[in-house]
Amino acid sequence: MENYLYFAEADVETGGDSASEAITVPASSYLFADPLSTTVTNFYFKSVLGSDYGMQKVALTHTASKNKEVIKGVLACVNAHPSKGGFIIVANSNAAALTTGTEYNSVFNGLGLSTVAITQDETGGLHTTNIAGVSGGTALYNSYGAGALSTEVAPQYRRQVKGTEVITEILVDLTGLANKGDAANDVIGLAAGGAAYIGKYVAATTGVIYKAEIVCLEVPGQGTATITTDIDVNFNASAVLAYDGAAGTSELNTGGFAAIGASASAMNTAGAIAANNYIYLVEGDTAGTTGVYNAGKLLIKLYGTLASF
Amino acid sequence: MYFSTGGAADGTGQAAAYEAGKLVGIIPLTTTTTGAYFERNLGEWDNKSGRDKIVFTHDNTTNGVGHRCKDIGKALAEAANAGPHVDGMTDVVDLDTNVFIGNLSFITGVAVTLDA
Repeated sequence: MENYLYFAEADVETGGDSASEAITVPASSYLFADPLSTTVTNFYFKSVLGSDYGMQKVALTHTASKNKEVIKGVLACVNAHPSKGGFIIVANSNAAALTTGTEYNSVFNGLGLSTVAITQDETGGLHTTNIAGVSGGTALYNSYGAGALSTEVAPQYRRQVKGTEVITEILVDLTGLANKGDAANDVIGLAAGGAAYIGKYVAATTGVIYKAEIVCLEVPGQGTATITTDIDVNFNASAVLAYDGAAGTSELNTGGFAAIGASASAMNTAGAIAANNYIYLVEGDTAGTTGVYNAGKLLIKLYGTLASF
Repeated sequence: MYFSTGGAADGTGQAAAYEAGKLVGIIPLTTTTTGAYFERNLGEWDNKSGRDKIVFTHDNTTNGVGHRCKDIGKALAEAANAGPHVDGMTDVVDLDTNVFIGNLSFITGVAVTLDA
């Protein structure tokens, strides 16, 4: 017999590979507890998604200095005699569920349990499964604008944390995106419009970015009209640049992609790649003329370091 | 624990059966989908980090009784702890025969992803 522990945040709508808002885990996945502060205690479990993702972290907020009592409560749930099928609601903060609301296990009575936060603690290797992006989002590093949505596949993301070193990867498919061709450094995106950023520099997750690279995984192909294979990467404070929008001088000037494996890199020597910048693909020259891509896959790698001192 | 997609269970990915102890977690994916993950260990050489994924499609109850991931977690916990009976296999969701464990009849779709 095995107990299965349920935790939920205040609003449970989505989850997936980057931000689970609720979780059911077997008690045998419990690893350890870490009292983060007087009011927050972290509990770690084996990753649901696989060890490449690190550990699953559940942070419980409680009355000050009740850490030991909260740890004791969670372990009481872990070791409870399985009954009613072994499903134990440990901490359910799901107030958005109108007819049930919050449910906290009685072991926490008097401990002021108030908030549940569930995250992946990414101490493992690079995610081997791509992380889906957030269309229209502006908060997370894996946010992209609707105008960057390829007709083949949406931008995908991977992330690795090793010590203080962070590598963030953005995979972009060009199929269906377009270039205008009248000026260099104009944004590549859907001709129909819409913000065309493919990611965001979020220092809390990407670290302080000191280097950027780009690799061609599939040569850009011409669908209609004339495209350019000279594609640069631009970091810009604006979240609303769309197809044909002027992005200004690019931080990563590639020289173009005529072959698979072609690559370019740039050190952030002058600090032009700044925190909270949105990341755009732009035309490197004026060779295109209202061209629409029918192929092309690019990998952007951002190297960062966590500022934690 | 047995799952089938309703595709007659005669082709790869149309059904799957797992030892209960391989269940490593259940998480919501979208408002109308929930994923159950199973350890995928192919042998001593395997690093045990692989996962198979069963994705359940269901109604959106996020602003009513709460996300269905809770009901699914409860049902899978019951299935994992069910005593071996008959042949030791528990039908969790079988869309070929419309058999559901517990109250899981709200599930309208099952998708199996090997090595997710």
